[in-house]
Amino acid sequence: MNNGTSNIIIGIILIVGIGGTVLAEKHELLEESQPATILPDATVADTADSITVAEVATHNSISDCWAIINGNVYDLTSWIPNHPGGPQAILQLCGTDGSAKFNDQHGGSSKVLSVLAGFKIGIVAQ
Amino acid sequence: MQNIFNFRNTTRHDWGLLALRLGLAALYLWFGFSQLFDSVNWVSWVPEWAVNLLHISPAMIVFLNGMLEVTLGSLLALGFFVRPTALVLAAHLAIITLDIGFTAIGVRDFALTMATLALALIYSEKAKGT
Repeated sequence: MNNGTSNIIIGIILIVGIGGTVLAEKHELLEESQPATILPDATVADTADSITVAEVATHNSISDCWAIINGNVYDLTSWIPNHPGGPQAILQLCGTDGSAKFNDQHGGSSKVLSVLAGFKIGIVAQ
Repeated sequence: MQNIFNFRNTTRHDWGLLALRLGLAALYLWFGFSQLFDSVNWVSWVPEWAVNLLHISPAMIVFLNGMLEVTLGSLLALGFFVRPTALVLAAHLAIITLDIGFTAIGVRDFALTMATLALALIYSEKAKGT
């Protein structure tokens, strides 16, 4: 087998393998998406701290970032530098109700929801 | 040209170049395909200056960037035009790194920029087989 052929074979294996893996991963994430799982989380948190919208609004910086998502309040400060989609995506939510943006971006992905659950600090006071 | 399947005549330098080239090809292919297949998750990375400069939507910028990375990553994987391809990718990643700034992700991208630049600098006709 000459050199050019071996390079092409290895290259094609790499391209197809990685392309297929990324595509398979996306399909897996899509299958895990269950929109119905978004809301129940807010209703089971009866014993959690109630936090007002005004209080959340004061935590609106990169060093102190809280956000409301689907009725729950999350402290996302430590997640800002780790978010796979970049820090800006989280920064725009700080101090706000980011439910719409979050749901548009992630839908009901159970993986994302499980990560988000780790940052929960309370529920929005009625 | 050195055949990488001719193990007896393949030097550590050849293996090193092969590992560097294929490793970087895998990196650019992965992120390129991710941007093509899942553009929405990458839109937040598009800097405002890029939108103002190109006058196209952030989603389109992500798509075009993905196309670029898949194309150039494929050239690296196949061993075609390795030096100019690596040089373009290093410049491309350097811009991204500067935009991200001094964060954990920025430092990681800086290291990858340097690795890509190293491939452009040390890859030679003699090592074409790797």
